[in-house]
Amino acid sequence: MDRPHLLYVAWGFPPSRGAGMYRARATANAFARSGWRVTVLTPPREVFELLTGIDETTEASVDPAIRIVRVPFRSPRLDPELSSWSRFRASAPLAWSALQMLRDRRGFPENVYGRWRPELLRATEDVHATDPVSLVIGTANPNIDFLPGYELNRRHGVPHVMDYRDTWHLDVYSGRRRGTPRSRSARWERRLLASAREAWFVNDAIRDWHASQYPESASRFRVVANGYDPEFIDAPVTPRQPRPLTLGYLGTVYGPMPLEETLEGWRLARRLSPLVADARFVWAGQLGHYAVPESRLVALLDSYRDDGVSYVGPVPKAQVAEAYAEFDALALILGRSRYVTSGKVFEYAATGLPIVSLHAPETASTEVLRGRPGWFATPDLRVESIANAIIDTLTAAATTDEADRRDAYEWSTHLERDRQLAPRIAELTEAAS
Amino acid sequence: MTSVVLVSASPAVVSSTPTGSADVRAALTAVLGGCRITLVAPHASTHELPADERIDVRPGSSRADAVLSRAGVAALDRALRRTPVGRVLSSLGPMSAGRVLRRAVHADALASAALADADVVIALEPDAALVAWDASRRGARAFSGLGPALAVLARRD
Repeated sequence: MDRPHLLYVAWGFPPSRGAGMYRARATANAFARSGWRVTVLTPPREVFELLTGIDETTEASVDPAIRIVRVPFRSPRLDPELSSWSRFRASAPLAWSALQMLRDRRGFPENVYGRWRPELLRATEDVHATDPVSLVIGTANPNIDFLPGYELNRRHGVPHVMDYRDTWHLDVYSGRRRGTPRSRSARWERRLLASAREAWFVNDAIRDWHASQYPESASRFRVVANGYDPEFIDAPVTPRQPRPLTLGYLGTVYGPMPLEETLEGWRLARRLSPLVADARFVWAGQLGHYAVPESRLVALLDSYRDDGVSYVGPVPKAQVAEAYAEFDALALILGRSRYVTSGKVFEYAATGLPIVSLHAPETASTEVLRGRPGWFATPDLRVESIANAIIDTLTAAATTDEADRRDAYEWSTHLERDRQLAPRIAELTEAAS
Repeated sequence: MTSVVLVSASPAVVSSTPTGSADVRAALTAVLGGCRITLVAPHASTHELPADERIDVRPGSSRADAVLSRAGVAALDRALRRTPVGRVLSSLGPMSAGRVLRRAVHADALASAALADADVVIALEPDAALVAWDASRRGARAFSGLGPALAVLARRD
């Protein structure tokens, strides 16, 4: 019997440096390893160079058997050459951007990405015409990634799966609905979910919220948690010595994180503890979600320079193990939300290094780390509490040895990404055959 | 030797290359060959970006800014910025960050001269795009964003 053919739709695919890319890459690879022929629809690499930045090292980790179809994406936002900009765009970029959103949303109700619709659907039909598709998985956001599955289902009866790496109408920080249930995009979401064979969510809380909003489709909702990728971390990290004791943060730095509280807590910890006074707090990763760093974040980190805080920039994924070796303990900093687990919590866990959770306790990642050796957490976001948690963590880190890190690593192996995907791939493979 | 001017409206901005490398001088040299880098920004003198010359500009210090402030325009602008729609309206007015930076550059002879002589001008963030756009009208190759600029220059050269 022919091997089944998966059409996988992922805006964020290597070499994109966006955080969502890792789940997409791992999913496509896992299906390829499971015997599927996999075709990926994704934009040209130049789009990532201009919009989000790229990580070339991730391209090498894509299974060579996967066929990648680069689907053109045309938008004036991608033109950085100012000679082609109008006076209006140059002098009022925010107003220009607001007007562009109206055009973006003509074909599909999504800012920026809605414009991808015609090219994306054309490519979908081309792939299906030349090599019939057995299953479509779209991974979002952007939510336009769900559209090819819906269209192939509507026209040709091909089953499709919606993989929600993120949420569409749930504001994960406020817990409230974005927009009204009768908005154009909400109607699209209902229609897409109604036609999907399965919808995947990253944790129970997000699945349950969607089940409450779309009860008619809830029986097909599944949880496929994130996980760490063993090709990047496959053993406990051994901190490089000698150097000052170092607390590290590795990941995207973005708005809802309690940054001021964390940095003030760090400053206080240095006053309270001679050990921390001699330590460093090193931040690595992207400042904001785009290729151009957010000025506010740069200025904030810079204002703590005299407190041993430094920022070292983004780290290519293939080098994360080396980056973690520069740290003795890790700070897990997340926005307050019962819906947020994050991706980095899994990778942090697998390093074996002590971790201090500097976020509200109700944040969903708390449950991921509960019971892990070498895990510390602030009970609240008061500066004093954060300072004490940092002191406890670095005090432990100063005496943590290889055996401690091995214990923590072994505990974390149940969080490997493929273990989360395996049940879904097994069931979908059986259905396809 | 190519003359490159980096423009920023922010007192502290870090820019990375498309691949995430922080070595901005090496990245510019790789696509342009030998280049002389000038940084035009508030507090440019204490900035960590590599530059052969640093020109501090002072947004909000021009005579026009003083007049606008006395006329209550600055206060009105602060009020507008409290809402999303207000921020869009503010971006159309004389107190937008882009126009404030442009006035600061015009008020600074060194900054104006550096931009007039530049071969390549790169706005490090959107608020600096207007100053770089002005330079493009005078014949410079001008870009918005360091990473995107490097990506385009690398393809072209």
